[in-house]
Amino acid sequence: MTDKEELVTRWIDGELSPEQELEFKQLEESDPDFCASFKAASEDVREVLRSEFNSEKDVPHGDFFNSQIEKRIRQSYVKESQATSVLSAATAWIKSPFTWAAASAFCVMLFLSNGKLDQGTGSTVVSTYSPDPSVSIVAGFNEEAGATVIKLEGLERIPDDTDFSVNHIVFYDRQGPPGFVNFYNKQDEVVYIMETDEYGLPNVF
Amino acid sequence: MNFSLSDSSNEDEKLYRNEEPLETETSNKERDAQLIERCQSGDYTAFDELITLYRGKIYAMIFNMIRNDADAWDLSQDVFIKAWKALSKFEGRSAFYTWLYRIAHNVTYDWIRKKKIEGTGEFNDEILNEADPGALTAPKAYDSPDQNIQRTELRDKIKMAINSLSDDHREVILLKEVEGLSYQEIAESIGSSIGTVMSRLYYARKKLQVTLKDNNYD
Repeated sequence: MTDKEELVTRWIDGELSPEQELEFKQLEESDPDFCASFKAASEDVREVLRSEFNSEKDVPHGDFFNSQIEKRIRQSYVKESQATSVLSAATAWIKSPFTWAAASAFCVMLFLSNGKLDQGTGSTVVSTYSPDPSVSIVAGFNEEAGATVIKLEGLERIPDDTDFSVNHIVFYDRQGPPGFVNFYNKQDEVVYIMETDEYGLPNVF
Repeated sequence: MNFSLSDSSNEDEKLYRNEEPLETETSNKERDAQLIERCQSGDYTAFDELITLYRGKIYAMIFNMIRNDADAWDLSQDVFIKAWKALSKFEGRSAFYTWLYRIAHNVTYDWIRKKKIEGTGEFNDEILNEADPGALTAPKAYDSPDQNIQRTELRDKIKMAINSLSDDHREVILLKEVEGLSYQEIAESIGSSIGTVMSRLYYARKKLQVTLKDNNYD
């Protein structure tokens, strides 16, 4: 970049120092066409960029965005403290002679019993979000249904003649994992957002 | 902790930053300083306010670089999470938004590097060719068919021109022309010298001018 180019760039951006102002005046007198054409072209570019790019843009689902940051921060602290405590506990555990004795006994028992391990069914709670604060979401594992049930409380009573097909989810897109699955209705509106973990499964607490 | 209110702004030379009056800018810095002080004493609600204040700018900045809504949303979150964790070390030597832009710059460049290593090839071409419905030059309902065609052509030329820039050049010209940052602020945001900023700006402008001219942009 030459001195001339630097001077004209500073001039366009209003970044000339008092000494450079004098230098620029000399340049403008000696080469007015260069200065004028560079300025005109730069202003064209500026205008186009400002009309095409926004310096601020609404974040989709802004309150969800904020709540997710808080959640991720809290989770990272939990993970950090767990990792520290687990590491120190694991070190002490491995060093213990009782660990070796117990492990040997377990292997023997496993060999002798050769039985199937019961997988069990634990309760599953999905991470949920409602953009309307008056609507609360209760999610829990229903033993009878054998599935996680999400219950919305605080919604207005739905008239009998309501056409439910409008709210039927017709497609979804997945971001991640980890990330989110957005469910859409016929009108391409987001009906529900589900957070997923690194395996693409609903986030479970 | 010391919070400098005007260490990086050039108040004598520039009265406005992207149409934002200087008085507002000063009061914004005071407001930020108070919120940061509360954050540093462990008040998360203050940080939530900061997120709400700056999420639109950070999201736009990242979106302008990568042109993908979902990734910009995720990366913006990463920026604020990193900011919260580093906030205890923030000493107020630069403005908060400059500091935040620096984090956004690092997060975005890490992502771009990762994308290039993965070799998806979507960053430079496909993403930039996707329509942005929020853009001001998007066809409006009341435009005539001719106007719509002209707008579409203009958008294509601009996209082509921006696409032809390197990441470094694109970032600097967007920070200057769209965000309205000073040389000093851009240098702090991207971790370069003012000389580098000016050089990138000069060549980015030159290249954009040539590209737009080659495509008969009036």
